[in-house]
Formats: sequence, structure tokens, C-alpha cells
Amino acid sequence: MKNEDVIRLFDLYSNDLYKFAVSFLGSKHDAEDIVQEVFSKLLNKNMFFEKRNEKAYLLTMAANKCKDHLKASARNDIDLDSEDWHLQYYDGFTEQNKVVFDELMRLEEQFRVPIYLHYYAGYSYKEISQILKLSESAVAARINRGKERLRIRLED
Amino acid sequence: MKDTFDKVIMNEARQQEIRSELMGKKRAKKTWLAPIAAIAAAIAVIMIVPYTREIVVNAAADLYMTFIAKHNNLDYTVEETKLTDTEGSVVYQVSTVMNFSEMIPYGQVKDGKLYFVLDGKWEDITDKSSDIHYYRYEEIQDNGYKCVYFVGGTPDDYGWGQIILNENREYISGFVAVDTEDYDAGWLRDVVCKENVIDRELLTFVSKDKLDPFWAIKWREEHPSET
Repeated sequence: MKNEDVIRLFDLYSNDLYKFAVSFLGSKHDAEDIVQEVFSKLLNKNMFFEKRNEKAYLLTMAANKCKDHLKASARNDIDLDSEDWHLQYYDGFTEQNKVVFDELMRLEEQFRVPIYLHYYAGYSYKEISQILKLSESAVAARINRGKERLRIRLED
Repeated sequence: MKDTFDKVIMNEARQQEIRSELMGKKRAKKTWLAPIAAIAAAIAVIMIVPYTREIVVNAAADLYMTFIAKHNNLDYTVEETKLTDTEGSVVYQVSTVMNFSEMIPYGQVKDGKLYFVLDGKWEDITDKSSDIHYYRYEEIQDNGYKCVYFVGGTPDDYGWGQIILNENREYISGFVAVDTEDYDAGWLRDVVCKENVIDRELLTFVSKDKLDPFWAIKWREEHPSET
């Protein structure tokens, strides 16, 4: 793919991929690395996809990178007890934002990521199943279970 | 949640740094036999080769197209252009194009079973393929070229494709139709290893669910400098 095509995609979707990677990995720096890796890979590959599918395709690439990252770092989830965790909150977060973000990140990755994709990014169960390579029924089950856990935690 | 994630924004300085790096990076050089724009299940195979016209035309005709055309009853055209490369050598650009709208995928799922489909025959290969094994079928042309058709995976997660090897059983070209470009499974690694592909980077990856038969041709029109 040519540089200008990659730059166009970067300008359009880098923030979307970043938010997605944050929801996956819970780390600003790791998410930035994922964004860089995805777009660098586009440059070096014969990759072509239809415009209407490009965002979903990029998210799929980012999901694969995030899974690899979790495997490589030998952790299955975010270490919320680390001292650095609270440094990762974002400028401009209200107290409510912090609670929502913290509790979402406390969910296991298998629940957290589909919930993010559905309720924030607005993807359908079918689209999420393609991005995460899961069946639609598995996506529905994870979202329902995750949502219930999140609701209980937020009520507490 | 919307309000929360709306505020999760990538650091602007880091974003600009990555963007600048992307602008400055050069694309990886391709090997001469790798298709420059062979996209969407080998719709267009384009080679630039420093050989004689006769060899070039024969090579192009012997690539995917004769195999695919035979099994799908399709016509194809071979186009060639004489060019001079940056070092002053004469090279030939050969493109083989066909309308793939009628092409039948070699791997298909029906009623929860995985089939190898060729010439209208459906062979149930559900028990012959798995996450780590693939089903293969090969044909040999009169000139000794070999075409390997393969289907791997399970009915829930499968892929298919084909590989062309020359008379010395050296890899010429091939594609695999799967769900994502990053697709990685034991059966595909097995294909790369056992069928002499040597490196999965030499395969053209196409999306099996989103094939647009005319995409390659459109791409060539929009990117003339690439072809």
C-alpha cells in the first residue's frame, strides 16, 4: 500500500484504533505501539480492502496485535493494582468518567472488548464476531454477561 | 461510556511522530515473481520479468489462469508491455486478467460441513481438514507445472486457495482466501511448509467474505504507476 493511502487511513482511524487498543490493553503506551504497528504493517504488505470495510479490517488487525501483545507479555489482563494504573487516567476525566473507565477495565478482556465495540464503537454482534473471530452467539453471551457484571459493580 | 471514551485521545505529539515515520518509510521491495497487484483471489496476475517475450507469455499463460479458467469455464486475456527498468534493462510487464464474477470458491460450507468444490463436484472434507490439517488436490499440466488446491480449517473457521509450482517444483505464485490478512492457523503454516511456499509473505492474502471480482481491475486503473 502506498504511503499516501496509509496516511489517509491513519488520519481517519488512528484515534479509533487507539481507543480500541486502550480498551483491549488498558495502557496508553501499549495502545500507541499497536497503532504504529498496524499502520507500519500496511506499508509493507500487498494489502487492499474495500473502503466500506476498511475500519473493521483495521480493527481486526489491531485485535490480532493486541492478542499477540498479551501473549508476549504473559499476562491475560490489566494489572489494576500496579502503581502506574492511576497515572493512566486521561486529562479531562470527571470522577464519573474515572469510575466507568476503571470498572470497565476491571472486567476480563473477553467481556470488556466486545462491550467497548458494541456500546462505544457501535458495531453489531455480527461485525464484532468478524473483528474478534468469534461466533455471534459468543459475542452476545459475552456482552450480556459483561454488561451484567458492569452493572452490579457500578451499582455498588 | 460514550462520554468516557470520547476523552480517550491519543497523545498528539506521539500521533504526529508516528505519522511522520509512516510518511518517510519506504515500501518493502517485492520479489520479481510476486504478483504486484494480484488481488481478490488472483483476478489479475501481473509480473515484471527480465526474460524473453516467449518465456514471459508462456509463464503468464501457465499461471493461475489456465487452471482457474478450465474449472470455471471462464475466458481470460494476457496483456504484455515492454518496459525499461531503472537500470536500463528491458523487462516485460505481463498481466493476466479475467472476470471472476462466476468463480466458484474451492472451499465452501454447507449444512455445517466443509466441502472441496471443483468442477461442480462437492467432496465432503469435514473429517479431512482441521485447525492443523488441510485437504489438498493437485493437478499437473502438460508442461509439468503443478497446481495445488487446498482447503483448511473447520466449518467455523476455514480458508482456501491455490499454489502454482513450476516443473522443478519451485514456488511461482499463490493465494489464500481467508477472513483476515493476519489469519494464522496451523493448517496454513502446514501449507506454507509442505507445499514449498517457503514464506507466507509470498502468498497473496485475500478476504474470502468480501471478494469484489472487479476490484483488481479498478485498482490498476487508479494506480497506473504501481502496475
